[in-house]
Amino acid sequence: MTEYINGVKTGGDPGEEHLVLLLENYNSIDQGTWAIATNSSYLRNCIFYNTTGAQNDKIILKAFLAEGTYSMRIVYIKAANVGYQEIDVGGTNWLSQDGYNGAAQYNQIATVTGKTVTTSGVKDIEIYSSQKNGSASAYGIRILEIGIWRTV
Amino acid sequence: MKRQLHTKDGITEEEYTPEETELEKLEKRVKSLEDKAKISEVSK
Repeated sequence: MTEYINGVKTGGDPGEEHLVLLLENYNSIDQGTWAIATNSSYLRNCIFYNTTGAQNDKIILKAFLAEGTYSMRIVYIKAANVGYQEIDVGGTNWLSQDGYNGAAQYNQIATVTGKTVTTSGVKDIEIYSSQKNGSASAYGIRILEIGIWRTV
Repeated sequence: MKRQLHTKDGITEEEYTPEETELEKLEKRVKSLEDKAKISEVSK
């Protein structure tokens, strides 16, 4: 709760922190089989990914986000069996990144800015893959890390 | 080794063989070539 003393804001707003989300800290799994794999080429050497690679595999994380404007960044892997890396926050799509590449490319970064939260509260952060490049062999989700931070 | 599989129905376990990384493949290849070089040195 924001506190005011003589009309001056003295405390921070909830949700002003810089969030780093890791997929293994999911709240629920909507579809698919997910597991940890380790590989020295990965950022921090580990990933939580959908072994099934099926269309619409999905996990849901939860986080409190205050009303405001945000940027989001993912670190992910491109490969031949990777689909679009899609993230919805509070029911609105924030990020949709094609993860296909014929040869594996590790630790790729995608960033989106200017995403708004209109009402403070605990939000569903849905991570899924509903589409893929025509050349991709599966709907793999290969997100190593999600960062969310408030800019306004 | 075993690893956990997470689904909406819960957690199970399966036998799992980690994939080799490109670096690990190269290291094996180098070791193999080094071993061959040693053998050829021995049999000179």
